[in-house]
Amino acid sequence: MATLLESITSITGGQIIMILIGLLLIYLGIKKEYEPTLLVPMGLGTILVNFPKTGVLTQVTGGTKAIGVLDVLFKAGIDTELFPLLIFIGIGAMIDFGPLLQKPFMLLFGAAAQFGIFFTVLVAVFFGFNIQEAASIGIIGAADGPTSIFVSNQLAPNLLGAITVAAYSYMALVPIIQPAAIKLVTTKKERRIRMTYRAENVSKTTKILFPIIITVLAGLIAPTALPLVGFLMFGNLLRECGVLDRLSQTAQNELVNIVSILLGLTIAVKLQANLFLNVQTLLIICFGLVAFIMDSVGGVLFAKLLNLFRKQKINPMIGAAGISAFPMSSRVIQKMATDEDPQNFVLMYAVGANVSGQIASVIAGGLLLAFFS
Amino acid sequence: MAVNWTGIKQAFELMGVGMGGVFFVLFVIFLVAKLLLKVFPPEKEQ
Repeated sequence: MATLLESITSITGGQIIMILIGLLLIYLGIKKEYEPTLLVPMGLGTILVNFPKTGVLTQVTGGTKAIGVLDVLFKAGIDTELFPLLIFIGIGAMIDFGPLLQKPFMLLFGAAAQFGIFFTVLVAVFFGFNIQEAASIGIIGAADGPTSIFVSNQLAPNLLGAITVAAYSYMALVPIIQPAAIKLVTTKKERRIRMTYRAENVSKTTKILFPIIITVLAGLIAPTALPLVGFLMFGNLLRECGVLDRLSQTAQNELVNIVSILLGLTIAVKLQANLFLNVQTLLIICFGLVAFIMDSVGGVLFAKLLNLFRKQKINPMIGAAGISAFPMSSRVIQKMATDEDPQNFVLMYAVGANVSGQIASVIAGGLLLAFFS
Repeated sequence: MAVNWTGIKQAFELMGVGMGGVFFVLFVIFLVAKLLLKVFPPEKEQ
């Protein structure tokens, strides 16, 4: 009886709070459908790791060390960066670079919308984080879960749990965050700017060569970004080459699904009460919001800057679509455009900028790592 | 709260290198995309 009660009596207040947070993540995933593929496994993982003497983590009982399954997975999949990279193959296979290649000019908006990353680094340093920790917090602004995990695991592994929770939570909140941020820096007249779109075809050769050339370029210009870019482009090559449809489908479905389950459960190792419940976590959650807002603001202001020199004006909201959260961000921009003017169709431009954001975010992640290497 | 001015300086440096780097790489990709579209137009393939 005493043994049975031991677990109940040794549970701490912090562990109870973390179990409640785990339940909240599951609730948000299932009921609100906020990134359920990650939040549901992460939520259950949080519950699993916060029981005293839980067998899922490595324990020493009676002088014998019992290796916990989540520790094994963490060492194999996150310490080695394997899981985020495998997810990148799937993401690459899901991306259609067509809209971007039709309007390559949209690439510049992907670059501008990374501003939130670097602005947040500054804010985090101001609030007392060291520069490596600040860079890891800033990468939440990449709006890309695997990139956030990849970078923070190298620069500040102690903050990995909070950064992952913030990154995935805010990605799910893009439809709430972006409209507010965009309205802050645009006028109604600017949001009503119409952009004519002429669909142009892109040849198959271009679509096949594009991922190969980007990989070579990344290797030459930003080699630290190569694992991220290379795996992303490999996935895209599977999609576009036309002879590996089965592999492309596997990457888009089975591979991403299996790795997401493992990643979500495993990241929970960093969601133990003693690692997660502190003031730093609260600050990281706040700074993540700053990163997302400043991404949108940076993209919009860049578009407005370009409009000073252009005859044919760009709807500045397109700039905010340059984040990596695809396709949510482009949908948000189109919805805002039609809310202002039901005849305004900017979707294809927004999709181009959004796809560009996916490339730009991994480049930004690689550059952060290069800065400290 | 004492502000870490060395860190702030590094953060500004990182912002310059980072934003400059992202724009540079994306601009090179823009040029590559333009070149590919010119060399391999869809009409040619059809």
